Amino acid sequence: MSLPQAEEAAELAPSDYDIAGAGVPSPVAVPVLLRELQQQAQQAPTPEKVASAETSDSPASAAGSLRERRAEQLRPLRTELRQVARRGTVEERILAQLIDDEFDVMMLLEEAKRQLAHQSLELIVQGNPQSALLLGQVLHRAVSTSNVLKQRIQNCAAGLANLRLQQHLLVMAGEVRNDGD
Amino acid sequence: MGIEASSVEVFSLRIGELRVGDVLDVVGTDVVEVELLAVVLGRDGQAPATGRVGVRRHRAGRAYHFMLTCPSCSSPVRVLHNDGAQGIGCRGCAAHRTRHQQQKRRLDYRQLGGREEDRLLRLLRTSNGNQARRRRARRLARSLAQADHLRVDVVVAEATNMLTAIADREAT
Repeated sequence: MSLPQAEEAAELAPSDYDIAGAGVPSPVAVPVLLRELQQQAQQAPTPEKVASAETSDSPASAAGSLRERRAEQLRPLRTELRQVARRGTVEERILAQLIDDEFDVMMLLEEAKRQLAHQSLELIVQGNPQSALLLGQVLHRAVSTSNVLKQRIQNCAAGLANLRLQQHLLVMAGEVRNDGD
Repeated sequence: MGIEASSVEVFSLRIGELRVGDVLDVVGTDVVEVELLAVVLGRDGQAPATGRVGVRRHRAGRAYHFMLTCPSCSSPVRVLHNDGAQGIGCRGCAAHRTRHQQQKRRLDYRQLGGREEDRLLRLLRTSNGNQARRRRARRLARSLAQADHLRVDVVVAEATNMLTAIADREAT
């Protein structure tokens, strides 16, 4: 299995990290989260799928498809968010606009995190731990910044009146964060 | 009055707190004094708490206001908190601290926009149609988004530089 495919498989595999982490601020979020995790588990690649992907996908195309899939996953949520930013109350509009901006920024950061993680693993495999360590430091900063952004999205989501959108945002922010970890 | 104390149950959708306004939405403002069973959700990882909460009219100046009664110390309060031990109490009894009190020494609060975010959320929570507050909140949200963008740009540029340097070193 190549590195991007391993990362992709690790991302899709269900873990209890989401539940134990700070991504679940209230018991209300738990059923939603569990449902999302179950859906992810159903979509998780079987060994056969992974083996077939191994032969067909190059690293660049795998990263591209992952990015496209993530954008596709986020599209309905962001459409709804933009509707709130246009039609909600003044307070909701301010929060929805901020959350939308934060998602844009977060996507940039996730891409950088993915590249850094991939490159540092490659360097370790090639036997160059010094360079991997330097990259790891930058990756650490990126992860910290990403966690701050994710927390900001969750805090701002708590101010929205639409509870369904709120829960969806909480779950998605948690998922996006776990991409590059 | 016409409301049986044991028949009323209030489930607060706010995370970790129960506000008098939410209770009045359930019991109405015709009551003089009522006791009810309240369920308050927990904050991060905490269990929900239930407790018997009184709602009473308190005189303040010339007017009367509805207040909740703290189950522990019986003092009249507007907000009750989940204390994390499956109980409900006022700010003092539940040892509740504001976000600023909790996080003011943290790096992300001081340097990564946490303080501004807290200020923005407080402004929005208490704006009540106040135009000046809304304008301030809008400005604050815009500056927060810009600052985050700059912070991420710095990290991305650093990552790109590092990757380029490593690629150059490998090429030579």
